[in-house]
Amino acid sequence: MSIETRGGPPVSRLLEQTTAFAVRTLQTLRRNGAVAFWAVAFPAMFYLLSVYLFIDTSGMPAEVVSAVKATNAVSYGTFAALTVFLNTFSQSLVADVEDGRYLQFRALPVSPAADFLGRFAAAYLFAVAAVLAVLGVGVATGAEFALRSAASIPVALLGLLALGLFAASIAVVLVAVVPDAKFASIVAVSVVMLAFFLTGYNGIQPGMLAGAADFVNVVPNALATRLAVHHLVAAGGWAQAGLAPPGAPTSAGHVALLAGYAVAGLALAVAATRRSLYGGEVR
Amino acid sequence: MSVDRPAVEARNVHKAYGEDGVLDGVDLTVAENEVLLLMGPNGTGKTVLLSCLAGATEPSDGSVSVFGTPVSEDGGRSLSLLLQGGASVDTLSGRETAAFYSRLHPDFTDRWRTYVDDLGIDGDLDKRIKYYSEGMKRKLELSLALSVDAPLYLLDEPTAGVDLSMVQSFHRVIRDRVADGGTVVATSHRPVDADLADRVAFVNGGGVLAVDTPEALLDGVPTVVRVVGRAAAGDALSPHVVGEPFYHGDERRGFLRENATVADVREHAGDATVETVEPSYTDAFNYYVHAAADDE
Repeated sequence: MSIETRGGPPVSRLLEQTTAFAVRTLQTLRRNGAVAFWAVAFPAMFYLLSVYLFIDTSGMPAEVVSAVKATNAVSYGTFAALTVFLNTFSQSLVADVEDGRYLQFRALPVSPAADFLGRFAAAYLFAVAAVLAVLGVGVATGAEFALRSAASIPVALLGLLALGLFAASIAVVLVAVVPDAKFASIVAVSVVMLAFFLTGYNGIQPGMLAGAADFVNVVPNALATRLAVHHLVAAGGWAQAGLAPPGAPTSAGHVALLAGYAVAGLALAVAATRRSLYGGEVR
Repeated sequence: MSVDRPAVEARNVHKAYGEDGVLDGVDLTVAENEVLLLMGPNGTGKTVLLSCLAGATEPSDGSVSVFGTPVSEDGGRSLSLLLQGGASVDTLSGRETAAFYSRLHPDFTDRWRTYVDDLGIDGDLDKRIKYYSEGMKRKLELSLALSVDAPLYLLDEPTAGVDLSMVQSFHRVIRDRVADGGTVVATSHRPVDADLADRVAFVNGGGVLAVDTPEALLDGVPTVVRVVGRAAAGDALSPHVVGEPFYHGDERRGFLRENATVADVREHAGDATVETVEPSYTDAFNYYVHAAADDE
């Protein structure tokens, strides 16, 4: 009888275990209709309501209308991604907690980092797919995208990665504090909605905020959205499009801030996974 | 077998969840290459004890070591844990579940292919687990747990939900690991599982009530008397037995007190049949778990 031993250096074991969690998470996500609804259909529907009912485009030139639609598609794409990183991610964790699988995992030589990274990799792929679906709906309804440079797509993806790591770390902490599927979902969806509205639709309508709106270039959801809009949408004048003030978050400081969110999110998520899910006894 | 270094050593293990104490000072030693069966009623902490032995649950007090190393430092390298439902995800197939655990554990082997064949679910591996019966889930989970090349297997009710015709097959695959030098600690409340054990420990939340070989435990059971034929026959038994009479199928059984005789029971049993029988594992379970405390 052959032995499929997967010993060897810790890095290869980490990769193997990360792959295990990633594959399993993708398999369970793609068979969950509720996840598809909340992560794709709901944001797409919200986008359609916005561009056809909430925003009066009748007096706008055609090129402005297509840019407004594109900007809104990016905003709702971020909404979809946040839903995946917060709600879907926390539901994936809490299902394993509620069904007692963390008892099993704690008795295995599993790296908590592999657990988080695997789940996150799957969530990131799923989030990218959800964003693309919403952008696709945008294109189908007349949104026009224009890449600012060859680096635009990688920059947008890295912005999404940073936002995802930050949001997923909140999801891990949420599950540690509220290890109940219903309550965790209520909290996660509430956070997504609050983040969306309190930042002026993920930072694309800073003018609707009562006070100074400079923070939309600071908070992660709005910062990632505005960076993506800058790189993916030919919005012309940002003030004309309602995106300013403040101006586009293109400085090195903004990029460093996003990187900081990513690093802090990763560190917090791995620490919380190790301490609460593997070191503790979330029940 | 090493006397100096037991496979498992639990000392004064307590576990409480808030105000609720589940384990109250459990001491347990398991020798290498033996099969120890933990038997006790439902809800008395067998699974919690097994989780503590596996390092999956941290005791509130006390210590657990495996092969001389504190289990918290072992990190799951020396053991494989089977928990009821602990491995299964309803939306995954059996094959996908096996693939997941094969990547997760560095010492996972392909033995599971043989075991699922032996246990008769090889044709169901591509079905999602939500379509599995409880027995099929146990078959898959046991196959996966035993596929890890570990010196210690901790199995939580491995035969729960399994029909009697399959129990021997379960015992056979477990013995396969023991034949390769493995140590097994299993929980059960099915007397038939005693056939598997080198030693049986009867437990309740307070700790281990009795532990010995199955033969010695049976020898320690007082004379078993049964009453057949009258609904109220328990009244005839009560004054003469240790603890309360219990049902065994349609009959009532009890353990004769030291100074009581079968004739004493017959005197009060009317036309019911009263006779002594050899103690079964069910009788031993009832005696050590429910009656022995009254026999002291």
